Amino acid sequence: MLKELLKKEEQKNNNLINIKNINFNFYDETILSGINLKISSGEFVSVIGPSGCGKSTLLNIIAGITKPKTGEILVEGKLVNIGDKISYMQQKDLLLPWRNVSENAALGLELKGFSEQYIQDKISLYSKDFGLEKYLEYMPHELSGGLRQRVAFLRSVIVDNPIMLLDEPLGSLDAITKSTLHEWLMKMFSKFSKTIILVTHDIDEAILLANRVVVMTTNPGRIIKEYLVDRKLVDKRDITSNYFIQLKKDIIKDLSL
Amino acid sequence: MQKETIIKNYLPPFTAVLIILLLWQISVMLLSIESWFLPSPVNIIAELINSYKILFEHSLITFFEIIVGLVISILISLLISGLIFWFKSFEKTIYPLLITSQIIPVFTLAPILIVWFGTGLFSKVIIIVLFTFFPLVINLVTAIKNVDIDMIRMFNSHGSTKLQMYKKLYFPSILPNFLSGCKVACVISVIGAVIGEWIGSSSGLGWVMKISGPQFQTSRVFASILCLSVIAILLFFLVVSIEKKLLRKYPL
Repeated sequence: MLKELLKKEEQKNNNLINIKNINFNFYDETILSGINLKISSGEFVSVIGPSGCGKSTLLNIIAGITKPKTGEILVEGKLVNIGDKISYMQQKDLLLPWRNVSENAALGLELKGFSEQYIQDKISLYSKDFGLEKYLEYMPHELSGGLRQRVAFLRSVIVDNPIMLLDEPLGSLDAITKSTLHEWLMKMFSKFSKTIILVTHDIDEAILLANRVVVMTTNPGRIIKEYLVDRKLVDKRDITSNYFIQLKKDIIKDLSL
Repeated sequence: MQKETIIKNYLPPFTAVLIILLLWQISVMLLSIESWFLPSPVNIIAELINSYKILFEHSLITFFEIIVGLVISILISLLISGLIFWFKSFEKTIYPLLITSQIIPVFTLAPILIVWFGTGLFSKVIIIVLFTFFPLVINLVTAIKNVDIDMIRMFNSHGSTKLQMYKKLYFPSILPNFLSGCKVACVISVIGAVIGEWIGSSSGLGWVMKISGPQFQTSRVFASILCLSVIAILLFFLVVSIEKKLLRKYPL
């Protein structure tokens, strides 16, 4: 009985990602200072901050492609190889222009050395959910910005990593495409039960999507505040509810400090 | 290809060439210019038919020199750009030398090269390499440097190995620039070969031109020029067809 309780308690505290004391310098300048963040499985965390606060650098460090000066990233308590648990999506869709949609989506799996048959099966399975089955033979330049971004999402999701890092993935899209993609994103992420860290400078986006908003400030880049977002009180379409506006006001106040 | 597009693509240049040749033929005839001074197109074609054996023989020699020179040049340029890519300090070391090698007119080097390496194939190949490797290296290095840093990040974030990245990102990214470098190299390699043969040789189209000029066999000079152009065009279209095949696999 007690053991079970302890186990439950442990699971509760068991964070999927543990970002421990990250410091990062660029020459003499301190870009990130003492970043600590614990994220449990299934969470959607938005990181918001002014430009230059090092939020993209933080994502690069979490993804493993930039080495921090100090600190470490633990996934389920362990250090992991790049690309093993974490998928990273950048602002640009970064589709290879010489590959069609299906070949682009396959890239991550290909790099991990899966067989062609396995990759094909997986793409035909996933492309239906992503509404891309009609476009598999298309070249990237034949697609709209929203569709291209969807292909990039497919490429990130299909490798089945539990954690997704998003660096303003909708930043380059127009407002209408953005809002339809927001809804679609939420659906996809809950369907594939991902844990997400989203970096954005759009406060609405940060609140609309996340259940936790982390506010960063600049010089040096550090976390100054965290807000838990009650998903029950945030309607996906409604950015005029009192709850939403109050939260937004608080965050704007933090950012203008 | 549709018949209409063929006509659209090829008719204008074909007509232009035809008009120039016609004007040429007519002016030579009307002004009764001697053929040792300026042969008419008909004269040149007659010369081409009469001495096709000599011209063909020497064309083959020149063609062979060019192919060997180009292959070596491509290999050298791949090596140099590879070293520049892998070793940052190598770029600083080699760039001044590369530039210097282009500042010295190859034409002035040719006699020295002939003294050092004789009048055989080797001296011509060196001259061709000196002519052609520079545009190849420049194109390759530019292409390597232009590979999108975010693409590299994306590959890295997937845990890509170096080899995977070379194969799946660098190779297809560099290919179009490399091939356009090859096109330039093909065309100028012909100049290199002719210079080499002109200065010290007893064979090749350059040599044919050199000995035909002073003998006032002007139509043979023109016929040789025609052969050289055909070689350049052949090489150019060889690269274009390789390009079409490869870019079908890696279209841009």
